[in-house]
Amino acid sequence: MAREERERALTLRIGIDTGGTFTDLVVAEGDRVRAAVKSLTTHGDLPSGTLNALGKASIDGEDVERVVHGTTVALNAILTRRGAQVGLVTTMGYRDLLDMGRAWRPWEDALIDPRWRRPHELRPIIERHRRRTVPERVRADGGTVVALDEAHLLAEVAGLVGDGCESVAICFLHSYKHPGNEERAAALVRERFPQLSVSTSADIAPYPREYNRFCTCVLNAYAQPLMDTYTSELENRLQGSGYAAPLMFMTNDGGLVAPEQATARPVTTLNSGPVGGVMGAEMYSRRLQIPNLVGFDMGGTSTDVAVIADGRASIKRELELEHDLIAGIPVLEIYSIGAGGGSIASLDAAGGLNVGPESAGSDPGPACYGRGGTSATVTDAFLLLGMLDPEVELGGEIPPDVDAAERVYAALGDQLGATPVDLAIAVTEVAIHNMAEAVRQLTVYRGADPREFALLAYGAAGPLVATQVARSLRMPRVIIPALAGVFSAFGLLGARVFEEEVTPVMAAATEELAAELFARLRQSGARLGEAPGREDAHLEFRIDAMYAGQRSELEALVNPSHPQPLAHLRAVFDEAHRRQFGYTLAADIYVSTLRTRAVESAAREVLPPELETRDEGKPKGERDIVIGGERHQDVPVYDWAALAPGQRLVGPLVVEAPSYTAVIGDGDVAEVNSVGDLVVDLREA
Amino acid sequence: MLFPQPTDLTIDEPLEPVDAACPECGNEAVFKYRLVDYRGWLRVTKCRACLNVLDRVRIEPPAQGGA
Amino acid sequence: MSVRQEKESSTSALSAQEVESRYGIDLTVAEVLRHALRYISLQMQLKINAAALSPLLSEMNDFGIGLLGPRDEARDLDFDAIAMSTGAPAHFVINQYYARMAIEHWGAERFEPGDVVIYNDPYRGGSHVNDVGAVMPIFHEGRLMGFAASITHWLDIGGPVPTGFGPGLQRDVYAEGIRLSPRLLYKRGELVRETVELFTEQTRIADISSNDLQVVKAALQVGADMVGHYVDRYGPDAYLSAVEYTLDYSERAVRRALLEIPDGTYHAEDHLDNDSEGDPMLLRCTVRKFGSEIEIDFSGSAREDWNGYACQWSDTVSAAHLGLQAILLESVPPNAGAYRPVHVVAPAGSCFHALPPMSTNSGHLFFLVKSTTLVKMAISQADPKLAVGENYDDICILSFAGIDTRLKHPIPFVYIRFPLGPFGGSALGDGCCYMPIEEGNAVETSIEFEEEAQPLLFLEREFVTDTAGAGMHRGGPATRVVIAPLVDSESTYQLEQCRFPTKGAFGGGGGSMASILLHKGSLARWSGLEELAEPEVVAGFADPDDGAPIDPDDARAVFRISKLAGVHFKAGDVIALQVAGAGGYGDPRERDPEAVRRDVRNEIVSPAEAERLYGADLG
Ligand SMILES: [Zn+2]
Repeated sequence: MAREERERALTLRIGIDTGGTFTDLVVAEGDRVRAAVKSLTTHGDLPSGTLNALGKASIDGEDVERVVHGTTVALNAILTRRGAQVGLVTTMGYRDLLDMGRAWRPWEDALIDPRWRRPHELRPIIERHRRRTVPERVRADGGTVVALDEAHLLAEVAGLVGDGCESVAICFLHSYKHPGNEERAAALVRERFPQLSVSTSADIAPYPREYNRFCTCVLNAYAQPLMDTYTSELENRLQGSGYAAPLMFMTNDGGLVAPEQATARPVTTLNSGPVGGVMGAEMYSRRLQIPNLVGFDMGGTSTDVAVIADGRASIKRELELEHDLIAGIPVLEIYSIGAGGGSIASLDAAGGLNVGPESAGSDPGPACYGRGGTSATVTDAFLLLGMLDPEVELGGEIPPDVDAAERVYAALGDQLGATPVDLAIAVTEVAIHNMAEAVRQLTVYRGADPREFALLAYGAAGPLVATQVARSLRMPRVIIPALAGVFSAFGLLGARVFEEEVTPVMAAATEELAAELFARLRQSGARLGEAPGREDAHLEFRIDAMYAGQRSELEALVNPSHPQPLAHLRAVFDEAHRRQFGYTLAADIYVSTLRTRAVESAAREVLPPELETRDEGKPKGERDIVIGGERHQDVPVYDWAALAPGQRLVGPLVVEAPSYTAVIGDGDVAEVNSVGDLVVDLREA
Repeated sequence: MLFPQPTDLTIDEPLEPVDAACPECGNEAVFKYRLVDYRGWLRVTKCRACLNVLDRVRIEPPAQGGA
Repeated sequence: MSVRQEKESSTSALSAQEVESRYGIDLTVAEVLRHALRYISLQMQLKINAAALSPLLSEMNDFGIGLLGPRDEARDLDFDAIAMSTGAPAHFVINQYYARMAIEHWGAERFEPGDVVIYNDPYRGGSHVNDVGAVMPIFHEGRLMGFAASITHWLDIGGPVPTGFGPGLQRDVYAEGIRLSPRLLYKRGELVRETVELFTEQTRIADISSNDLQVVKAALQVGADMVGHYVDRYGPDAYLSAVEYTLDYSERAVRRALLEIPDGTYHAEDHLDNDSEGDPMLLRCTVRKFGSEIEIDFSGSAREDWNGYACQWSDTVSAAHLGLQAILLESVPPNAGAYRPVHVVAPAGSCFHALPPMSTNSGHLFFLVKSTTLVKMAISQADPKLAVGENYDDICILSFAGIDTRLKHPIPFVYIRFPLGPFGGSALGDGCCYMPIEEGNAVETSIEFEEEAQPLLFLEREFVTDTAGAGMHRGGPATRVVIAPLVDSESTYQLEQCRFPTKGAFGGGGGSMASILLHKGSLARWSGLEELAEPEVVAGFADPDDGAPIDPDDARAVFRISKLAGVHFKAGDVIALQVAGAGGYGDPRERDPEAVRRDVRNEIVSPAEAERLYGADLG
């Protein structure tokens, strides 16, 4: 190989998103995507599916610079309760927080239900007999109420080990600010029980709120041994197959970490797949210069919505897996509703029509999968309305069984005296309004006007409904990215490595305090910036704060070299608050934590491949289709692969790509850009 | 309008017997009394057996709290 | 059509054609708008959660907010509640009376766009003076389409007792705080200063009030705007038709559920621990159920008593609805349609129907919960599959107020805690071990935050062994909360079941009783891991000689009132509040032996009690 070629080849980067059904893989060479493939996920032996996908993309391992991975291993371990045998050691008096949760019942289905029980009571991560307390207690100011009883601690842990525990969570009150007792306890336990996996709450989630921190630490301890097995096996298998490039894992907050860190802190990877999609949306926001963007990912069981405002994804302080089973650490915000293709339409006893949250899943799946599913799902409705092609395999794999879809809709329609198609219209409209509501959650109700946002639709089903969802929100523009079908894997390529230092504060900002905090941020920045290999890193300084009297933190980026610390702090926090909630207050600013982040500064912009100039694509066929409740005849159907850059199409029409189908509404104008994204301007509603 | 504390230790809603059988079920447990429905106070003539309401008159809530 | 037939038709689901012919809109529009109304009220709630400064609004969800329809005789609408948020269920029903009576009082024709009318007189269909009501009219092209309405619990409303809960100290309604007949908070979008000043000058929470009054308006505005959005999209007539459809839908859902309950008359009896003299108050409820109609009658209950031992009729009616909604197996979207099948008898002058000038501020909490419990208890007898054991049965309060001397410049603090507890067993399984009573849905606040903000130490919050009512499905265990003030404090407490244990259902046993114990000056002993000082009973049964806990069956036992304001604790005292254990369901001997072993392993049940109650052979 010529020297010149080798240098070029070393720039290959790979994003791999292992989902429930498919393993998606996108390869970029420099700033261009070179290949994108979908391969079936191999449950029970996940690394094989990854290697299959790599094989399908025909990549030579020697050309690879970095592999970025989004995984659901830790998430699935928790959701299926297949994690480790784990014990909890906690402050005396607080044995039962896991069963108490945050006390409240879920709004949707159990608001006044006296029979409701908390998920952790029904399916415990740690049963009460493995939750042990030790004499230990500090005050909020760090003063000792009860000294740590070390002998007692070791006796309790010995009991847990004797009971079969392989992992232990150590969780003490106020430890995020005063971690001494936790650290001492962990050191003692590690020394005495070197084989034991040990997680401490202040290390895993260094933030106030005992329940959130303890729960996060417990989930970490629960997933840790399994994650350990997975990361080392994946690394070995990749290396054994010639992929020696560094493997990085996507984290919930959009960063990348090495396998050792993912192994030690699996809770940071719980949402790593969906976060890939949000990173992709951020890249699109920058590239298309659309600062306000709603990421819209409709999948099989749910629809995920994320908001990019002023070019940045919004941040949430916790990730909820089940009611009150949470990871209380900063995550890129993704709002999920139980309305996906597999969502089941049902009639209640009073004749009300409901769509989801129950889902037919992928097995048996919607009736039209022909696998014996007898529930009327959203995908079946799409098929009956012509939104999906009755002749084209679903997901490229499953030939649709239109008769089965018709049968289930006829059966349900009989109860209402409605035709299958009329019922399918009602189901689709209810589903679309549910999804629009999810978008409103993150925009209208925070004081942001969705008319100032574009909708970026991805996932297998996002492009099917995008123009209809946007229309009901009066959003003027829809973007359907060229790689909509593998968008999360694409987005993984936009992530950067960072390291973060977290310092707790918990005080109202005064001139004096603000100056001191800024000095601490500068010191922390110097420490992080001086670490080896950080020559190109750039530093980001964040404060987590709230108005005095509020009880939930919001982050704001600050410049710690600003000459007027308090005024600057107020200005940036007011702005962050306005963006998140739509208003500001005159109250003091109460600072909860400082975070300094060193971010790898190499640009990570990736584009889909340039389309070749060619004649404008002609429709490959036509079919009748119902859009927004209106019946349209002989709607043209285009093959995405035949579209030319700059081609302009006026709806109603359908575009079929290998891994998604886009429906463009009546009068909407879609333009194909140079890389094959569809930029759709909606007709005035 | 202000009221003294009642002298009876327990309080019953006064039931005024009505000399009629319920046209729905024939039962003679028909009474006139006050109750609250979803719109407020009613004086009803009602069958206690089948809950059939023979007659209803809406009553404005008495002026209370000093009005 | 006879009356009876008409009732039956209102229990059957409608066909698509019937929807079209009855309401003039197709099924799609009807269903999209039915779901939309629920979403709008939820969004109004989130606005309050996000923006309010009072923790009772931001975290404790102690409010209700939603939409009312217009007055339209042809559509059978009379400002009825058409959608309510998921905040505190206690506030679901009340707007059907509170808001409608305020609109009536103010005069429906007087409202102008941008007005907000505010009120808090509990004797006008309300709950208690702390619950501030507000309505904003929704106009579309000059036509009144309904109202956005809210009820929000104000952390303090003036009067002699911080937080307002003054059992034993507030003899009558005049001692409760400011009491407003309906008046303008906003006039055509402009804040009315002198109304705000009522709150900033007469309550202890000026800053919170001036912010949160504006938050209430902003949340009402969300509702008005979103209704406007849908009226624009579908037209005013389609919107109103959908409102009518939505109310009828909820009515059908409740009537269908009522048909499932066996016809009959069901009685329940309970007691409140004490009246203002310390004597138990008898509480009675009779539920008459026939077809899809139900009458809930509180006749035979104790008379009202001074010092907070009474509640408003509107509160009782709310509670009766909640009891019914809770006991039904399927949840029904709360709106006026769901309330149509229910009649409530609340005899005037009883503790369930206060007459002025009785104080209802404390009684609001305990009678609301008790009346809900009575309805559940009565209907539990109708069918084992509906039955639930009694829960911990109170919105308990433990508050502390004083001066925070930890700071360089000491400042006053007011802290109120609502200890939570367990629920009873049911046909479905064991009771939940820890959650709010049905009337509320608070998020537990963080101890770490509370200890930053208040000079208090929260030393324990843990389940207590052998407190759960036994049963095939047992009740949840009691939770004990231990708190030590670091400065001298004045407290209010309200707690129930200190005198009577909770009851099981269908052969299930009762749970343990509640109590408050004081270990004087014991914080130092706690720190040294020593035995605490001998406890003194604050609420519950005491030995008259030394105040020590005593067996309630002991002839010498005296009962110490479980609701009192103006109580003083010293810095370093240790106060242990334990709520009641919840009642079990079904014969304990039929409990799955594996479940008994699990309870023993987890120290919810001791080996000795496992043998005694469950006949478990653990050998
Ligand atoms: Zn009758």
